[in-house]
Amino acid sequence: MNQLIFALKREYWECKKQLVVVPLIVTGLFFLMAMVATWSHHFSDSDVSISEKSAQVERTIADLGGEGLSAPGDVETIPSNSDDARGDPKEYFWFSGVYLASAWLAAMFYALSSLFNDRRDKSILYWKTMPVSELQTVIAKLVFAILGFSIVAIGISWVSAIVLLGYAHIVFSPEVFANEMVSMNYSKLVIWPLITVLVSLVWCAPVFALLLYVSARVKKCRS
Amino acid sequence: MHGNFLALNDFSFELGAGRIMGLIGPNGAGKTTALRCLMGMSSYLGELTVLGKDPSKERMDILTDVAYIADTAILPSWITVDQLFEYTAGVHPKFDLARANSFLRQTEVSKHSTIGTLSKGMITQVHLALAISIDAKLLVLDEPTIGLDILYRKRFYEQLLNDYFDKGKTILITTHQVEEVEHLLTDLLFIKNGNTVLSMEMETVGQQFVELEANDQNLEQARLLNPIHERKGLGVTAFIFEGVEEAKLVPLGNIKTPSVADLFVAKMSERERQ
Repeated sequence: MNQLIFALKREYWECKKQLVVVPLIVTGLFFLMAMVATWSHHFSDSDVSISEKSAQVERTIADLGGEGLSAPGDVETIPSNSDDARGDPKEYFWFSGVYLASAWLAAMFYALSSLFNDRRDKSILYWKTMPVSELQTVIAKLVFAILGFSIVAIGISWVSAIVLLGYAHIVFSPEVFANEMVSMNYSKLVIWPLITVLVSLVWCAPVFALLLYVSARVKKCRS
Repeated sequence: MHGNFLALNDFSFELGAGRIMGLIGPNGAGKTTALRCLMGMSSYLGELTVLGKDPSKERMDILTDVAYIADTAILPSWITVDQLFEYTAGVHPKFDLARANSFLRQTEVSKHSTIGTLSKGMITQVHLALAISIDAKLLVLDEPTIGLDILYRKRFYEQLLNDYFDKGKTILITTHQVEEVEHLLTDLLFIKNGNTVLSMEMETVGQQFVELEANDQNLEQARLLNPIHERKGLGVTAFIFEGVEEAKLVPLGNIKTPSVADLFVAKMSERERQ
């Protein structure tokens, strides 16, 4: 078990940039979309009152990642604490789904290159002199591909959601952030993506195993 | 076997504790293949035991008692030195992290450096720190000083002897820089095209081989004694003889024990003639 943990650590050290780059790009895109949406609303509807603009932009942000954000200052629209009224997980699902899909894409590239890179830079000769079985090495890579990328992507998606709400808070109204934080259905927020990851673990494992196999078998180009 | 290519054939040797063997051969002779078979990294046909174990079946057990240094290129370039130490300490039951850190403190290498940013000499020192900190019974060195300048090469072998070697340990080394390891070796093994060309203890080299720097007037007499090699230097013609009595050679010129490098060239060219 200790060897598996260190094998996973090794994968993390090697791929930590790969792990966060894609989710951060997705976050950047969401943030860019939120900004574009904000400014287009601001400049297109000059007759609309500030509170209406705020409501429009919040709907935009909600469409991107929120869960039916309430309009600032409109007390009646603040969701109640009943389970139905609280953030609909389906809306968060597609938000986190974008992160998961991008993470899987990154993980597929990782799986496809991982064992090949070890051979290409000859580091496989060093790893193979350690008393770690090849099976353990492959299991560590498989687990890292399936779980590592997904978990990091989910984590970043949560942080991104908070950043987007923070953005709404700065641009429109302090109440946006507070309302959302109060109304968020945290249990569903955590459970949905984790269920997705666990289901994908079963479904994607053969695909990632195949990609690792290809990575192990593909021949090096002679330069 | 590499696919259909027979990399090693008719190749055998034994090496006991407290010995340092030089495995010497030209490029493509099968040296690295032999070492990889010992480490359980290549398949083979025949009988092979390392520390009493079969590498094809007990690779993991063997690797806990064997340390390996290849040329500088095999350490992953993306990892930092402290990560490399942490990983090795985590997976290798006989790795002494304190010893590795202590060794590293004597060098210019920082623990936080990434391998890819280090010079070849520094990478070799990191590799040496890893290898000598494993309480291994057998140390396998595959061209460990290739690409290093002479200062690093000398320092490498000095540290190897001072910090690693003792009577309970064994070193198997392949190198092209034969002159630099000659004084370390207790055993010699020449290999060519996968076959053993010469296998003997260093102590017996002088008993079996003689180098003669023949006087000009004695060249033809020397050639009649069937030297295995003849080379012309600056005003000197030298012959290497195998199994010829010294008494027959003394009248013909100056005799001495051939260097390992000269003996290697002699045996390789002899094999080509055959």
